[in-house]
Amino acid sequence: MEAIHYDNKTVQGFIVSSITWGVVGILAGLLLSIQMWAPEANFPPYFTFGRLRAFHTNVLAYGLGIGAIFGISLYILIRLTKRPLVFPKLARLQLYIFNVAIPLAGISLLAGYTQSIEYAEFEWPLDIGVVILWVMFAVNVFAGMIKRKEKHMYISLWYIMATVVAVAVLYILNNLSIPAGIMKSYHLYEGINSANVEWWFGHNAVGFIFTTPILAMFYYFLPKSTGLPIFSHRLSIIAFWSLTFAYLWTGAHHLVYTPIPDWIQTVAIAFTIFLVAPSWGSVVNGYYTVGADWSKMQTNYLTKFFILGITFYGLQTVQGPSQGLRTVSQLIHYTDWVPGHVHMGTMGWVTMTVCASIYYIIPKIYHTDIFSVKIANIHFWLVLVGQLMFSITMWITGIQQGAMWKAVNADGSLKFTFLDSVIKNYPYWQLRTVSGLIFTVGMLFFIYNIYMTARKGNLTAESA
Amino acid sequence: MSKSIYDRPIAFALLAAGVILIGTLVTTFVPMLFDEMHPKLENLQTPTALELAGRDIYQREGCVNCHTQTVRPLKSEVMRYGEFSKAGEFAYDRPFLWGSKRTGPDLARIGKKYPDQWHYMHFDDARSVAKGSNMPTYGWMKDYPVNAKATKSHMEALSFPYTDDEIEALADKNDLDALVAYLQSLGHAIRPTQAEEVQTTTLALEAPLPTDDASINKGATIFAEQCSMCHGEKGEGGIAPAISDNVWLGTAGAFSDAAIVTVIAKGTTEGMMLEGRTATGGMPGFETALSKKELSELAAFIKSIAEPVATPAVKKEYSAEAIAKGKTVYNSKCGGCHGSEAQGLVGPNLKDNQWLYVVRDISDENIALIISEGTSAGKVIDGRTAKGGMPPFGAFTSKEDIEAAVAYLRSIAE
Repeated sequence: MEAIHYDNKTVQGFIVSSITWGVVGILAGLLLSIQMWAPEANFPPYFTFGRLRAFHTNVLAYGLGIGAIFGISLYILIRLTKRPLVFPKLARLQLYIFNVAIPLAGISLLAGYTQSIEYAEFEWPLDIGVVILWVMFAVNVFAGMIKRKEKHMYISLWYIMATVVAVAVLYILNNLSIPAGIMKSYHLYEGINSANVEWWFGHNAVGFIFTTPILAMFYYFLPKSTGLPIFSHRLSIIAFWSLTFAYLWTGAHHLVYTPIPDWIQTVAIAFTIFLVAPSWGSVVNGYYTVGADWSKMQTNYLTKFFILGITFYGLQTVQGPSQGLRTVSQLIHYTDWVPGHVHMGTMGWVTMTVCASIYYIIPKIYHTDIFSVKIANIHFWLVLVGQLMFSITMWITGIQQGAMWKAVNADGSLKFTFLDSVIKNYPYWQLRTVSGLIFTVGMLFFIYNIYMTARKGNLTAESA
Repeated sequence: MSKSIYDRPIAFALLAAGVILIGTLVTTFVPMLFDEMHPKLENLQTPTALELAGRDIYQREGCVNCHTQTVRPLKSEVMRYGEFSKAGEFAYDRPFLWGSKRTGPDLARIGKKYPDQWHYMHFDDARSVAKGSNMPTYGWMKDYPVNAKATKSHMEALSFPYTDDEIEALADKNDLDALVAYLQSLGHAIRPTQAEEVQTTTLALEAPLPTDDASINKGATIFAEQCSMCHGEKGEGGIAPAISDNVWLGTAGAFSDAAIVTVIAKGTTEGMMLEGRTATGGMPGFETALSKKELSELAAFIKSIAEPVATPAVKKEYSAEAIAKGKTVYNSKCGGCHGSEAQGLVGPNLKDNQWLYVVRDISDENIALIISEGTSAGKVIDGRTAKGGMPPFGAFTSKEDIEAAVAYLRSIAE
């Protein structure tokens, strides 16, 4: 069989970068979790909760998330198109720019340069950087697709293409702004439109950064690592199009009971409920795929990462739509329930699937086996326990907060002050720090395992 | 079979883009073409330069990560924060700052709820006014002057009107001043409505205020926990007015028990009218923090330190005869402790115009009261707290002699 030049070094570079920024982002998260119950852990001006929170979410979404998406998508792309990257030097340049952009972006947030729109905090010079990186990525994706050596486009490629298109539309439209200085701008949209556009973006950033590219990984690496074919091609087609269609209608479920017109809220809630179907299309596809041989859960260490990952995706996509309902939103919106929900998606579904994909890729490109399955299993259990503890404590305290905010006395007067509800959170917030620590230790086991695997292997550009 | 969409990447991507754009356009961008999405309340003002500078700082510090700025139209929320948010309040907001998490309370109605000084205290050390709060401290912002040049260009970028004086005035301001000014502006577009609503409300008391010591002591404890940070430890006033001086909402004289309870429960807003007085605002309501019983106890305590009602001090003219008589009384009964020249000895100086350690005039009746009843530690007279030690002279001194002593003390006061 002819060896193909697969440019593994760029893939490896993105994976290492992604893990590095992941560690930075997770450590920031730990400090944030401490600041919630120990205000003296704020170190003004740069390391106060307000600034650090944007640093945490952005470094993880763009550093860990997009970094992994770039690397792993390129890995998938060259294998599914059966050809090397069309522009390998462009991809390498993209890697270098990425690693300059992420620290600059992080520092700019700590320095207080922010648009104050969630997950789009970067000021306009950095936005331009993000767009350049995305265009570089898109060029290689589409060039590879057009010049592919394999006629059939596998599911993962659809999800990657949808990601490229959707993120471009979302990112550019939401970041349109009125420039007011070299690091200052104001949202182009005013008032309720600003809110409507931002949450159209905010929700779909989750859809097209934390869902579709991760599904691309899931659909590629699950069959690869288990040797079991995807259960239903037809189901994946239906799920793909309905997900891509419905996602964009749902942003205003983040704005329930705000001054946004009621019909926009209601339409968003309706589509949100519908979204359970395509989401579970992928979940069911995953379950039935492994359903052909459940013993893989025991014999193949990666299977449980993927199955737990998709399970959390499934739980996330039931919990999320429930939260959109007005009655549920009343109780849990603005409370700590929401970070509990988000972290099930990010720590459970995304990180689990990304780690499993990296476990698959690193031995392949280093021509070796995983250093230790046992350490991978320790990693698995620690991140699972850490994430579950995190989410469950936040759900409990979130319900408690929401209930305290609504509680009234017999005469109809409010029962608790806001401060009462804050003070009740402290034990849960402390427990969340412990959960985060457990998760972090789990991730350190992962990094050690990857490092040792790379050390015993040999990275070559060539592979079959 | 013709080539399927799954074999043509560009066609596939275009189709995907089309599918993505349907929901995008219908829910987000097409509505922008209609007036419904561009509401503006009549009273809505563009921010001043200082307020915009404050908003920039609100953005810079990521306040939006812990505070929302939208009150939901839910009963409990309106009771807690005030009027629910209207679409027309945000016409000048770029971006919106509604937030998504309430680690701290909503701020849509924070404007004018507290006086400026409260905010400075709170930013300096949130726990000094809100025990148990996890708010970081922001006193350090006082060291950063407002960037007037940047603020000017921001006003221009947003096409907000401003005057050169406004920009010049920024030179004396720091970041914290700007942030406080911004917070005080929040909710301004609907504020007059709020004031009108409060105007008519006077709570009906279910029972008369308690007069027993146990209740008043409980009231004192509540006062120490909830009120003293603003009104002073003994109600002598601080960033908020004195409450021991029997001046209520800026006007001296009697104020009904129901009105006292109303002010504590509901707080005050600018223009709020109660028993013929008009409030300047700045007092938050405590009806959630305190039960009805606690409100009564607190009001009872406040009445106890505000009483006896101080009649406006009218300087009486005393005859030389009365003063001479008073001097004799003083020398025989008072000089031993207060000194032959009233310069202070064991007892305090009596001619320095300090009465019970407070430099504020006191009525003749109250001086007479102190002489006849004496003082004990913690006893409150005319809003002043005694340290105790003065024996009561009333039992063995005639009323006339006491009045003469008062005349003498008045005559020697500096």
